[in-house]
Amino acid sequence: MLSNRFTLFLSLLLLHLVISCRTEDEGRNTDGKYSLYTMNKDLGNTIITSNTIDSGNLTISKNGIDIPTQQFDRSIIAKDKHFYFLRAGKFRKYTLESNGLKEIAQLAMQDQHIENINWLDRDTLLLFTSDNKTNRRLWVYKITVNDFKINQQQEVKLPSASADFKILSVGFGTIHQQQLLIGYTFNKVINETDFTTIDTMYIATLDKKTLQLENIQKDTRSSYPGGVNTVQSYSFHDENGNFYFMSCPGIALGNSPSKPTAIFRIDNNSPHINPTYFLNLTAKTHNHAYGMWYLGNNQAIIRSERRDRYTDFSDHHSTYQFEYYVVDLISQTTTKLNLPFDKGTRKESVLVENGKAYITIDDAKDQHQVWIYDIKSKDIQVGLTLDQATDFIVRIDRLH
Amino acid sequence: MKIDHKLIEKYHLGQCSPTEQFLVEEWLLDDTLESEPLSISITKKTKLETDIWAELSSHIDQSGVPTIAPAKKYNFTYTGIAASIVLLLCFGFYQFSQDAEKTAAIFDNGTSAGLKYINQNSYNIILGKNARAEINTDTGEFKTSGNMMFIPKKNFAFSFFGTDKKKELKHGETYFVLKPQKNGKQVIISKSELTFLAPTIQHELKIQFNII
Repeated sequence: MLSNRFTLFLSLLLLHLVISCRTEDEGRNTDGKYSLYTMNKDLGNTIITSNTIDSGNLTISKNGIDIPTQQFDRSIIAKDKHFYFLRAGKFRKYTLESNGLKEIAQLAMQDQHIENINWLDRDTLLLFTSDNKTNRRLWVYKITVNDFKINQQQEVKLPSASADFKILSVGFGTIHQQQLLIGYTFNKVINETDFTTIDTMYIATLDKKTLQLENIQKDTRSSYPGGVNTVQSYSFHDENGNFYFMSCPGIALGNSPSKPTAIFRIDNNSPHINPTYFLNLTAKTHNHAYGMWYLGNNQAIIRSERRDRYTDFSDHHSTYQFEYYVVDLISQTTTKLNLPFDKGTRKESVLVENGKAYITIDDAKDQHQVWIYDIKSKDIQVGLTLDQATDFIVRIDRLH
Repeated sequence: MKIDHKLIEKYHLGQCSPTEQFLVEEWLLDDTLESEPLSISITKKTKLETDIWAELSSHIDQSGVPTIAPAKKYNFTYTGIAASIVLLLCFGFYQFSQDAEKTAAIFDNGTSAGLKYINQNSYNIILGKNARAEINTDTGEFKTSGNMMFIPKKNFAFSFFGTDKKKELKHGETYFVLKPQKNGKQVIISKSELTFLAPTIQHELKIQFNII
């Protein structure tokens, strides 16, 4: 009898295994208007989508879609219901499913990484990539994302600035006055935990169609003209076509901290950096900043660090230190927003829409919230709140 | 990196890079089960269930025949117990000496410009060039010079120089232990936190540890 019962038990166990459990999908919205990318306390990453970020509470365990950290990180591109990521030699296109990201198309891009991107329109994406081996070369790809095809692919040969500074960093790539402008600089590795940036910002002007290099401007008022913009935004065009970018010489990007963090302008009627426009943020806040988002009407938000609160690069991300300022680009005034200190080095933490700036903050009370700044009335309110399984909300995107 | 039949074939042909070789060996030694759900249709699943049940039913009603073990002619009980105790003790001492050997260990890559891969029972460690690590899993002391990757196979609490509290290192995560700073402070960051370092340093570490 015993052996029969045992066989029965084993068989039932087998049946149980055969009828495998399905994951609990309820609550995991894959089609929300907004998406939040979180890094969590359990060291996992998730994407949460929601139709509203003005209010409500969501939890990582019920509403988060797991994103394997072996494959992805927060530099993922979110646009029009799709996600894009360069991984393992291929630029890939994904849709979001309740059990994760599902790859639907891919393009070969061997041994490269993304330095910067620019959406020319909803279907056309410019990628600025560099090679993984030397991090010195530069390619420009023009991709139409709907049919997912590379329409143009070209290496741009930028002349060396110095034998010591061998690593290229692209800060922006934008179409201005019917030309392609690429802002860049060069870095030097001192050892595996130390590096610095050359004392000059460079802007290459290229023919928009042929990508032929036409000229290179230099500016030494600061260095490191913006960073990898799939991680954080550093530049924009205003309503009148003036282009603004910020330099980031602080330890989190250029590590040339004696230079000031500043905002520069390329006027709408010129391909050159305006030599008289110089918004020196470090002079105003006595700190470095990383991240800039346009609010409209000559106002921008910047995300500024607090030198007195962190020790060095090792605790820069875990220290509650980041402040948000509204900057008037014309009168050059800065106004600190009444928000708790935020943590996390470089985050795409601001989304501007319908007269409001949605700012995600991970504060010292272990609250992970979207704060809503009303641009006109200057009112600040708390919107969507995530639970304490969250460690960092590293990006907020409009998904469709 | 996914372990597939191609990579295993490459491994047996001796064509793997050190990183690939290390990953395959780690996979071979790993006894956790990761299986995909069976990809069969509902109809097939139902048929399979019915078949198994039919096969089972044919056995359920059979009554078992009790078997009587024949009485032993010789009684070696005491000798048996003594032998078992001796065997257990020997095994215990062996295990104890093995564990004692592993709780405190020193690894040195001082002579090599390449990476050094070390596979221990409770962790893996990849030493960068000229790196050295002293690890005591009992006391939680972790002294290093140079840069290394540390991959725990269970949860650990380690104390690092320059911090007063222990840091919990989690099973399944990869950590970078970076060379002590000018102030002597140890820097340890998980692979997922790598994204917070400056891109130039991220890139440098990825190149050094061959993880691009």
